[in-house]
Amino acid sequence: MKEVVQLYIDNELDARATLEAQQHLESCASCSRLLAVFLEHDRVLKEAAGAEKVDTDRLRANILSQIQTAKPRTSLSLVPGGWRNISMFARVAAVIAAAIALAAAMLILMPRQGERVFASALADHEDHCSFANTTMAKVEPDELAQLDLKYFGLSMTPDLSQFGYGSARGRECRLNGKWYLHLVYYKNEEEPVSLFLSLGGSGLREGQLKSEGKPGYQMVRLLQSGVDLIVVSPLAAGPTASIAKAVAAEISAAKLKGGSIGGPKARRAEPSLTDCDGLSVLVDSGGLLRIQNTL
Amino acid sequence: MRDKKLESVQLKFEDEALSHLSTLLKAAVRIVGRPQEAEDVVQETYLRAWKYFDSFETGTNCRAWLFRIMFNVVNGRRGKQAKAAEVPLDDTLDQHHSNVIQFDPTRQIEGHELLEAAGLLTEVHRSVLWLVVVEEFSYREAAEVLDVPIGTVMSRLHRARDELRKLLIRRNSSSARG
Repeated sequence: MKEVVQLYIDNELDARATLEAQQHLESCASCSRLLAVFLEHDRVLKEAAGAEKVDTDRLRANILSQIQTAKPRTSLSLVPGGWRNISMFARVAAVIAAAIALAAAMLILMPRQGERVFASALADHEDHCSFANTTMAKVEPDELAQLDLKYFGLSMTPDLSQFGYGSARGRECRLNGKWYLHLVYYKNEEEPVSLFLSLGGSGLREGQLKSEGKPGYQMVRLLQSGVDLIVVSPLAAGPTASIAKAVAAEISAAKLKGGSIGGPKARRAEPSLTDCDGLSVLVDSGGLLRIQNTL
Repeated sequence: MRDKKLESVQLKFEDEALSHLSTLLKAAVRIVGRPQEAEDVVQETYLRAWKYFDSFETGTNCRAWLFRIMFNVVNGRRGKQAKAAEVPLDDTLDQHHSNVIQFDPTRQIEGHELLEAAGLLTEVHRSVLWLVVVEEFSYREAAEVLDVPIGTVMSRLHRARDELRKLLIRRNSSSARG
């Protein structure tokens, strides 16, 4: 619900959705209070930022001094006559040199496969955890069980309730060319945790754990009982690794039993800040955000 | 003697790009957090902008183009550092206030309070908050500046606003307790 208020504040809704949001806000005290809070914060922040003074004289002088002595990139439009006045031999040599340089740069700079998978997992986590995308994910237990079986050979979904997370929402996604089941777990109003699961092909040894930190996120990859598990979380390295190991233990136990791992235990969700469930955001066939009144 | 054409390009650069200098510097100070580093970032931004000015299309959004360069500079400086420090929110506070929105219409929030609170957010959250709320970029423009999907802008902004609200609640509670 907060996402709708945010979209409304930032004028990111189309005309129809804006009207629906306005009608809802007129009747919902909870959402209108939240709107007032966010509007006030935005207003004060903008005013404070606008009122700040910065001294740019010295910086401007430095920049002007440097551009006086530096030429912009040699645009061909700055060469008298342009490309036409360069000999054929020089043109061919320039193209070959550029190709060699590009190939060398790719070999040196291209991230290793593991890093590409982490980068892909992080991008997928950020993209799929947006409210609009979340509403399109699978949430029914039997639908999730089918996906679990398809992607890692077990018919039940990993349970993160011991860490305070609710039931998972599932999507299928590709990371660096390989298909994974992407499970998103929410906890109150905190940023969610993502699990990516697939069979084999991780490049890790059985039981080996690999970890990487990026600004705002921690990622862990683990191979357990042939299941390639990747965890993306906003938590620190330790808690993220704990989640990975707990899921790995569940997978291992289930594989040994030859059956399913424990399903999500019934847990009452923590109350959210706004107690309004009156609106949900949907993405229509045209890719536009629409608001559906569920009251 | 400098080529006349080059001088003309330089004048155009000063007119189009340098007019955004104070905007970029203010943003850089708030995003990277250190004034000296912010100046270095902005200076490097303008040198790159000058170098690639031929790729800028006159009449398009120069401010967004410069911000895009600036974030490339910032990311390049960060390199492969560990993730930025998380905001150390007090979980017990959240339990007491999970169903209450703390908004006292009689208490005016001071600008410096908000700027200080925003400074406590992680860099990724400060960045998206500054771009959308202060600089009034659309989600799509902010996504292009940051080179992330629009969904990422939405989720980061949502998180940033929520963290800001919780920080101000904690500050209010501390003040109330004296």
